[in-house]
Amino acid sequence: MIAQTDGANFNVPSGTRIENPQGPSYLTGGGIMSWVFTLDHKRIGVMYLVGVLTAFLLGGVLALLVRTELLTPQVDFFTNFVESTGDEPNIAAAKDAYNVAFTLHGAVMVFLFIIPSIPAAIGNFCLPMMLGAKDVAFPRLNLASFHLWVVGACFFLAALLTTGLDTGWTFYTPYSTTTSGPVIAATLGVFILGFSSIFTGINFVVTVNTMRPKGMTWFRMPLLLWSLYATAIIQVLATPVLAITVLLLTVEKAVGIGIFDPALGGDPVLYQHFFWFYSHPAVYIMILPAMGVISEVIPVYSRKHIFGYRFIAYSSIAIALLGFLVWGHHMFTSGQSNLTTVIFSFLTFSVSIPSAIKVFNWLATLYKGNIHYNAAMTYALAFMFLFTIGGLTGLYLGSLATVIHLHDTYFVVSHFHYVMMGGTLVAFLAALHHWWPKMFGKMYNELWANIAALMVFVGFNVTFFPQFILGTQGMPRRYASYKPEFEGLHQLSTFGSYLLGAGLTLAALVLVHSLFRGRKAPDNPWGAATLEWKCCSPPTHHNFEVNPLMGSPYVYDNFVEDPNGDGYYEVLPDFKREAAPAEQPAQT
Amino acid sequence: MATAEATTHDAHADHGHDHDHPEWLAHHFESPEQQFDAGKLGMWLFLAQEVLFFSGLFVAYTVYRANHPEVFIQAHHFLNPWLGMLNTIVLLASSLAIAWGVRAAQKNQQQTLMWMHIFTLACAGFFMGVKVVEYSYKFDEGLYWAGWDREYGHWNEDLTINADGEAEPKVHLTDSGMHTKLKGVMVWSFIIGGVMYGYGWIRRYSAPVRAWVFIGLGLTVLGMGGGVVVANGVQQIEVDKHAAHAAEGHAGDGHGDHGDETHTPTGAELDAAVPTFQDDMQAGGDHAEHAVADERHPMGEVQTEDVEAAIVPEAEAGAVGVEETLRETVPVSNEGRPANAGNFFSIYFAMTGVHALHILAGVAAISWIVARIARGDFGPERYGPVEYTGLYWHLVDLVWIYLFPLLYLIH
Amino acid sequence: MTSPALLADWFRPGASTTAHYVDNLFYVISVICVFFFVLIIAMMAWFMWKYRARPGHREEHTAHHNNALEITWSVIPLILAIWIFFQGFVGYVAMRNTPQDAYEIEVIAQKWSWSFVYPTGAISPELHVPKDQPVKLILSSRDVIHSLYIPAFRVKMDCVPGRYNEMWFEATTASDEVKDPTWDNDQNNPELKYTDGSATYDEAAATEGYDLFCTEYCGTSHSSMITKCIVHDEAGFQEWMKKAMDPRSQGTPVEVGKQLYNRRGCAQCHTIDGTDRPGPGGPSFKGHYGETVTFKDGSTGKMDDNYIRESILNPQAKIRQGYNPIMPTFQGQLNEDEIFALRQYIRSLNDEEVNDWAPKEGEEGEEAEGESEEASADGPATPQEESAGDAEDDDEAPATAEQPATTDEADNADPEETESDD
Repeated sequence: MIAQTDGANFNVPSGTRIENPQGPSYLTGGGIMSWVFTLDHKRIGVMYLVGVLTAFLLGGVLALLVRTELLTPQVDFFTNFVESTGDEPNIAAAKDAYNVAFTLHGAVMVFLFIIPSIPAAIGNFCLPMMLGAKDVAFPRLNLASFHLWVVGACFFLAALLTTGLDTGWTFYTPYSTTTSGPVIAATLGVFILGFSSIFTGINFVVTVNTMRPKGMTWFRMPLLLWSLYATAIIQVLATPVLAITVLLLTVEKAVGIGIFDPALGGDPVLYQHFFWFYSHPAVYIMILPAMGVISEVIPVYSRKHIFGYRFIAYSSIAIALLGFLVWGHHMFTSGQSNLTTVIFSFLTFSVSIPSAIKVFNWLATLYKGNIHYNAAMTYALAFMFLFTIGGLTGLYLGSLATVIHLHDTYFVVSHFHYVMMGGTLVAFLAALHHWWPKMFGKMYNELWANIAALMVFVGFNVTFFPQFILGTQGMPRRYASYKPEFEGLHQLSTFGSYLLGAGLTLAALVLVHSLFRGRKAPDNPWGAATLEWKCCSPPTHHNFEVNPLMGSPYVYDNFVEDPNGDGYYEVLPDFKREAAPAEQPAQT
Repeated sequence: MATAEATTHDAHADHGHDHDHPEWLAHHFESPEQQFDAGKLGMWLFLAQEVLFFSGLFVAYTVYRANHPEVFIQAHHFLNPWLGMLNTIVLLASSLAIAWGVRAAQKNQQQTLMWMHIFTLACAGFFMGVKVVEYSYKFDEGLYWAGWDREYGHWNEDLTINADGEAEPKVHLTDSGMHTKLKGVMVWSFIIGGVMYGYGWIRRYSAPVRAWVFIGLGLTVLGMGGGVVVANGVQQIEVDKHAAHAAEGHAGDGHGDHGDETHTPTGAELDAAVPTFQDDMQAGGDHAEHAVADERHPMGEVQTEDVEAAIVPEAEAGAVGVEETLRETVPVSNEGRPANAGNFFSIYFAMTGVHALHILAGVAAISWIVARIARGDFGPERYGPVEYTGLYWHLVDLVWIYLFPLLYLIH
Repeated sequence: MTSPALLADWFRPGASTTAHYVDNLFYVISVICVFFFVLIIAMMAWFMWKYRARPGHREEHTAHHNNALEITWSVIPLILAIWIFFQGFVGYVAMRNTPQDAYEIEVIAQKWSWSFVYPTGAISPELHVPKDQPVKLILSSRDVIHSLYIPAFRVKMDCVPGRYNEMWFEATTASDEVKDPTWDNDQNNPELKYTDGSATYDEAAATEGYDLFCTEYCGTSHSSMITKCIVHDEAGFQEWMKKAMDPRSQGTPVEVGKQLYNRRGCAQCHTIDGTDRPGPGGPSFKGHYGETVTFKDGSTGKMDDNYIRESILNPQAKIRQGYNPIMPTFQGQLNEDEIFALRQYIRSLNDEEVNDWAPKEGEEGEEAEGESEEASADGPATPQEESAGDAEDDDEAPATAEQPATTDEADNADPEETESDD
């Protein structure tokens, strides 16, 4: 007997298989304009996904160019990209080209890829469905947010095409106001992308606050929603400060208003304060959703209830709030007062605690589980490894004595790549593999996806671990050329980056291949208990044809593996047993 | 734990138009209350980000004022507090009106609702009119932001040192053909896009609705004209008063004077009271040059305290026109006394400019509300958008309430 | 996996009195990190193996939360973090509190070179410091933000335009005592020429020394904005200072003048190709020598050596028409020899006769005459031509006994006479 998920049906005996109602896929129907002007959060999420992956490709190619240049101490590779002066290669122009490349790599990766990757692409797709809702609260705002993202990206492309944006992604004044690059295009792009981010944030906060269905209390939300909620708060409260900062910078550059220009009585350090007041919380915009993804993925593939739900949820909020108080640690050598420096150092250490709590809780979730090594889980475990390194090396940078030595060296470069790339990107890949069947209704090849994941993992470590040593030895960042003694480690790092690039390419091929050749995905291939798996794969336009049965997002007892290898199906729970207090684990 | 949830939803394909829902209830909301709450929370969040947006400017103001306290006290004399007060009153009145409008919507008083919004629009126009007068007086007097080059009448061509160690003009956006084209494309695409969008939007409405929108926008323009006339009058009173005052002789009048055309305070007056940032830097001996912004007085007159230079007639010195942003390149004599009222006007233009942009955005939002009022969208059941727009307008008003004393009433 | 011994390879040895604060804390944090890393990863690996999905294996339900455990693994890291913070704080205080008797050096950073100004007035593009004496650096920038970083001393501070930052260190090892080849790769790997050869420091003069990097991104040649910090013992420092104070030891007057022109900012306003920059700039060094020029007050004067000297020391005294009174004074920043050198440089640009160094008091030598004759016989020598054998020339006979006859009657400013002017 097949039961519809209409919860009112109490007469069906427990153990009955529940079928998700099927319907036409959200991917089908309508021409190109129905995508461009869609109000469907899933389509917007998919368009975001395409956008951020394009940006990632661009940023990744630039990264490989940068690493190739650093293969040798001399400036040589980039001389191929600039006109030579007579017989001599034009070294100065090649250095400029290098500066442009790393600037665009940073700016594209931060503003166009990492910040929107999980919140805007994965979040847009998952958040309403995880809430059992039909859409986000403001679908038009959501679409506007995407359109703004595209416009902002176009400004960046303009900066790319005219070349010469060589300020570093931080746009520090007075360098950015005196350089000849297309700073205005880039800062206007950042301004517009900022509003895209704000709109997404407003949408998510309102959606989570007002559209939770009856029965989904705050502490029954999946942890991804907690982290997206915390992220959205940061987006709403921190991004406007960036917006006014880049606006002032734009006006400064265009007409010389002089707020940040020491030659006009302004204060360049004020710019840094403004910039990092956003950009440090922005680090948590990048990493919090990643943590949320890992909190979803690990229990599913361990078949275990997440350990320490409340602590993980609280730690997300704690990170979001503490994240506002630590921006000064980017300016330990800028000449701010010693007292300020000490306070910021102390607050910086406070952020490490909630992050540690999460790692320990994930670890405890694995304990006595039944760990399935699907690609998503491989990425999640890689995340734990890399994020642990990234987090622990933060201790060196929070501590005042050591940071003076390490600031602005490759140690910092390595640290934030371990957090941003080893953390966010790897979690993004985990999310992509986890929700891919739901998004596109196709299964990918697990074996090849796992091989790609291992290549990414190994390549990543080979790329970035040597950079810790380089930084300790004093190699400054943003150098087009370097002293020969650093050559060996730089070469190791560059070869690692090629392996990393190959791994990512393989991962992309596996996923793209699945779109065309993949087997049709079952509704719930992983046996996950969150609500988005109670739609069909891919979901219909309105997600749920009937409101889904609300259960704990981390109890997997009711999910039974299909004997035909067709994923998992849900059976009606035993209501008497389930009536016990929520926190009591059900014993098998 | 599973919560069985009873629901009345059916699985019809056509969501959002369920028969028991009002037509304006979006398909993804369960009830009008949910939609209203979502909208209101969204608006509050938007306002929260607006507050943080402006707070960046206020922090910049604080830092600037801490760095140049005397400049602020001196320079604010160039602002006419009566005009600021006029604008404060106008904005407060408009805020009252728009709040009344929300009340009218709740009570279904359509006429009041409409006219309150149109009154608000007119007030916004009046405000902008006063701003236009204020700005134009500033420009006439040469009170630009720090980087404006009045003497030459074009943008600064700061010198910078190129790779070969030679000085060359700083490259601005306009210097590259590619940039110029790009800028042109950007500006025009914004303008064309805006016009097309506005046209497409107004086309959707019926003739009476359009008529109301034109009435609203027309009164905005009229209000602006009114603002210009009144502000000019107020400004003229000041000018006359000070012209008379100046005629009495102000030789010993060293306290810096109000912004009038016949007499602007000389650099000596300004500088005597203004130990500047640059002075502090001069303590550093030979490093002074990289900190010294310019030798320019906001009025465009050269000011040095050098004995020799003092012999030079003021007019001649003015004609020579020492105005250059020296940045890192051009050394400046230690005796050079930059008068940096531009520092104040940088922050003044930044803050009031951004605020004025918000007023314009408010005008657009309110005229949209006017159109929808004319269409009869709002009533006691549904006044969400009216209230949201009102909230936004109150915030814009509130920002001005802070700007007014911070800029006009410094002591 | 990691021990302090292995880490020592990562860290080049510290050479300042405060380096141990950084190094020790680095090692301690490393031990803590390795401990936690091994703990977490070992547990993870163990779980990954033990609880891997396999036929017959099923998950076991365990508690969903355990407050005691959560508090334990929150509080222990918290205590450790506070301890690390405190250690960092202690080291930071030591690194920030400049001793009272520190030797002060002004640092001027600009794209893309460093100038170190010593209390004696000497200026060098490399940083020279005495050993075992606290040195305080006062940092400023002329254009964008730079950051001064000496890895061996574990010190770093930004150079921000419009404000002064300060830092201090006390070097413990003279740079010529450093045997570690990593310090001095330029010398030990001659085939691996540093970058593109565009290092801003004088490589010939500074092959030994600690690396000094700019670590705040500052544009095109950011990666070339590196120089050396050379630590002398006390006697060596005095010796170097004496040399630095005496421009004569650095080449011919024209060479020294050219060096000064480039290093001291003349180049920013004055060209050497005859292009004038009226208004905010300055007249070219070329093409005006000996001209009669009009001043702002309408009077006229001749642009001769006295005028050049006055313009350097009191630039506001006579402003030429069409130019702004913006030149800073170099009173006290250039000594007489340097002014002499600049004058000779300007003369050389105008194809005038140039003089060699005047003999110092009591140093009149017989060869002097011959030398000067040779110089005048060669006519106006370009710096390039002269540069080859200058060092020897100086040693042998830095002297000019007579002034070559020039058309410029005002050019009787004998170097000795100039000195007596002051």
